Amino acid sequence: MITASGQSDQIERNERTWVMIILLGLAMLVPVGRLVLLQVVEGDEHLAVSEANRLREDNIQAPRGLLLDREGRPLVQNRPSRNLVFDPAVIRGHETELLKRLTLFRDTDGSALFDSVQVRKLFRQARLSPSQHPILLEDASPEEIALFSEHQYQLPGVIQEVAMRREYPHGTLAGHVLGYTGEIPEKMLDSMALQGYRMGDLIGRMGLEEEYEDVLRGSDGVRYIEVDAKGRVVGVPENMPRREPVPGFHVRTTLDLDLQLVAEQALSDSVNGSLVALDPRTGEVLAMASSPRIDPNIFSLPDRRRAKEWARLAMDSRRPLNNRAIQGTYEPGSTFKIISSLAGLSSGKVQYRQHFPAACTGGFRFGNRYQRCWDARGHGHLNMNGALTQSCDVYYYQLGLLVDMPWINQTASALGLGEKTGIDLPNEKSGYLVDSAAHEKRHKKLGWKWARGLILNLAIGQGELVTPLQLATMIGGVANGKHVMRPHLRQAVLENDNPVPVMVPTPEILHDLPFTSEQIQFIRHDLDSVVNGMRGTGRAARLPGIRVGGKTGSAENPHGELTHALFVAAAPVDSPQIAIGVIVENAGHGGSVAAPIAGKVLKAWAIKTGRMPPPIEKVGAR
Amino acid sequence: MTRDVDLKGRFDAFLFLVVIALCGISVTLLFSIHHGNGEAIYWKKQLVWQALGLGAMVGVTVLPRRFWYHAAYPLYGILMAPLLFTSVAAKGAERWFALGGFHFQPSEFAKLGVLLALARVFADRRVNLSNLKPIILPLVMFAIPFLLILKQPNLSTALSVACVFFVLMYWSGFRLVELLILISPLASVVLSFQFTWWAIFNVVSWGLLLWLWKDRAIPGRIAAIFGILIISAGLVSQIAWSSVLKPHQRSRIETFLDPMRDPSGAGYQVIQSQIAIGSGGLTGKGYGQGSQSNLQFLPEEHTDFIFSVLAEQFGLVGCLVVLGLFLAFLIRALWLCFDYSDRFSNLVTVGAVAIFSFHILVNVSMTLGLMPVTGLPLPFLSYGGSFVITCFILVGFLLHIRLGDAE
Repeated sequence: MITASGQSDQIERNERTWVMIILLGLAMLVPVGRLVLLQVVEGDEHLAVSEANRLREDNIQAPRGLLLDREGRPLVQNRPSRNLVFDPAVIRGHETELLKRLTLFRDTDGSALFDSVQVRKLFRQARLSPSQHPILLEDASPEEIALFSEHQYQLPGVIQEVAMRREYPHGTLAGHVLGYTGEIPEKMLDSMALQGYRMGDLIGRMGLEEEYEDVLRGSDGVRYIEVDAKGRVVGVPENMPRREPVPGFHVRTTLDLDLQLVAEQALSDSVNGSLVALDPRTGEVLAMASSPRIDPNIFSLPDRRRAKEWARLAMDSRRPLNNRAIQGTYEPGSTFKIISSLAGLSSGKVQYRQHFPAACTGGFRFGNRYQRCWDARGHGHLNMNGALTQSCDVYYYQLGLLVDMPWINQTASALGLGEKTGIDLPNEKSGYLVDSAAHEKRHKKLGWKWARGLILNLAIGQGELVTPLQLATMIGGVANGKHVMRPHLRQAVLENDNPVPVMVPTPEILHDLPFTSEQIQFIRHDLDSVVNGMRGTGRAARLPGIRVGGKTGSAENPHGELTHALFVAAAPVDSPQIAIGVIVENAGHGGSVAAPIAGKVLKAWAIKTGRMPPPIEKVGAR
Repeated sequence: MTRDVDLKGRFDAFLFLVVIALCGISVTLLFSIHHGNGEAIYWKKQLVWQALGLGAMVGVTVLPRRFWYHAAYPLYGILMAPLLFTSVAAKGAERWFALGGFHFQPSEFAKLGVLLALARVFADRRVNLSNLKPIILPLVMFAIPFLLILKQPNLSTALSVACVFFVLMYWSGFRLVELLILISPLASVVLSFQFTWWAIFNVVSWGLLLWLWKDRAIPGRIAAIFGILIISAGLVSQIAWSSVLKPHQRSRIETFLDPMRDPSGAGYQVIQSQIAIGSGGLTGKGYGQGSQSNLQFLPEEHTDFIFSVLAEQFGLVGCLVVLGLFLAFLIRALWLCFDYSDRFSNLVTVGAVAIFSFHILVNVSMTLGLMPVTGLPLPFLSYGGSFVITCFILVGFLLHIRLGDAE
């Protein structure tokens, strides 16, 4: 069976064996050469690629700075919330059953918690970018979390994540001033990408949140996370560079939580209106309220409910999204008579004790038309004090004709009307002052020409437009007498827990006032009479022991039967520390509607500053 | 003489120790592959397979050589049968065979039958290109399993069987040039896609044929037949390529030959494998630190791409050690042929070496991106039942040569 081979055969076979050994050795050189190329020559490149394979940059959210009131009480907080998210790597392949189970979930009132369209959209997102976790349920309530924990084993790939959420602990309080944050809109993303904004980042969208976005935002940190081939996060590798997040700065505002609270309470929610209180010495805004109010918390609601709330706000005919304090423009009505008075005095054409030729008989004849005074009974012969106190229109018709609009407007400009005050809030309105040029420009389409008869209306504040903030700035400037300060809301910028501010802005003078102290004294006296005089229209804002100066206004307007009620006040009128402007839309007379509101805020201020004793609490009273 | 003493004197310790070393490396590597916090599972199973393989090896070794010589043809028939009845589909291919819940790859064991049968048939005949008649029987014995495996389809295993056939032909008398002429029509097909190379190849092979014929090394008609075959194979394949094959079929072949055309699909494994190997550098990332394999960037890392796992963790040094072990193993096996003159045993040895070499070179080249990806495992290192057992049986044949000679 075993073939006996000859000697030559053996030699030949040995030869062939050698050939095979040599060929084998040569063949082995090919992979060895390739190994040297890949591992030694190109080793670093491949190492870099393998690192890039497993490492992903991961954002560490920087805590956003807080907004505080002037005493350091938080007006905005960050609150941890729980989101239910998909882990794309785990849900892959289980989509159908997951969808079936998820659509079975009901919330407390029995409606489905998820709709299949939304869930399918998330599945698609998960497939497209497996390293991100699409949010299934934002800001889940403890009940919802409990519900999910119970069914966790049936829901593979549904996990909990903690995220910071903006919270406004006082609800609607100063909602317009604080603003809100929202996901950066795609339109903005292009221009903001340079500043490091990424999809899904929060950005201030209104009020101080928007104005001080750069200060509050901080900068996100970066860390590296290790992911597997399916994009599933495996862990955080050690010894990798990591940039810690830099928390945003806190902004201490000039708002006084107590005054703001009183102001909001005084300005009932059923009315449309606004109140601004500021310190005329510095321009610090102490309170700023606008009604109807908004609750910024709704912008931190989960997606679906947020959309609902947003739609409700946007569709509301009362336009609650407007911050009326800076965006509402109103005819100033009789409050403008302060400016007319000052214009008269400073022009030298009107003396304080002077009486005009025509007495008020309930109206005034100008050319062929008869312009009525608000009080048809007439005020008789009045000097400036009487005219301002009783708000006699006839007096100001004559004053206006005498002084003329250019001078009156110049005075108004000096007091901050007709231009933006430059307060640190976005989208402020400038208001409107009327002279011949402005009038003809505004009504160019209608072809209306300027006529001197228009002065009659303008001199009593019918025709100009002002914001509530401008009213407060104006009355503060008048009572102060020397200058008008630029109103502002930022008192200091603080770093984390450091009580020493990193930045304190210096108060800024908006305008120096061109009035003599005598002229100012006259006006102060008049303002005092309005509130404290027996026939004053603003008696509702009186305070015991404090000289409050003020002026009422009742502006006619095309929007309703009732006039807008206005009131401006400063206290103490000789050296004012608080100035207030109030407007309530279509509510009636300034003296009966607006003055009491200002009065409540003034009272709170007086108690707070120790000028008045706090109210005695009725102990045990039922 | 007791059986124990018997075994001791004829046991090739060197060969066996190299195999044990490679098996140890296999288990070590499989132990290092764990995904996330999951436990490594393959190493335990691999130990079981190795134990079974070892048993099979001892079984092969203790049976007398005479038995294997006589059993060659029956075994060929028995091992071929499952190929005909492959029923269980795995990954869309009919590669697996179920036997009482136990799945195995019939083609792996068929290889053994082919090896034994071819060794026996070549044991008593000399072949060369001038004398083609004795080659008909071995050719038929090779062609049947080759075509069956090819039909599965399992190209790589079929080619490994072809490799055995060619090596045995060489060892039975064929000269290298003659083998080159035999495969030249095939080379012509491959080269026909590059006209310049194909033209050069034609000129060179025609020159070679002419020279061989003048040298009386091959008869004229053989030279003429192959000359025509070379040129017509190229032309036919060119025509088939451009007019018979549909675009999607062409694209599939192109992608198979050059996976980089489809980096996220067919090329993904190769790219990730090269990254894994390259990132290992000179000394590797350290044991268990292979991010490419641990994070599943490397698919099939426990079977076909185990070499990449090794390269990533132990770098060039580790690769050279393992390749050195393989080379030592193969050379040692061939060395046995010098000492023992039994033709059958030597043919079995050479055939076994051919199977091992083919697997090692093709698998390593594949992980290195030198060859298309075919599902060919790396002997001793790759995880897998049928293949581990086959390898041990082949080792048994190698050890058996010594046993047999001592009889």
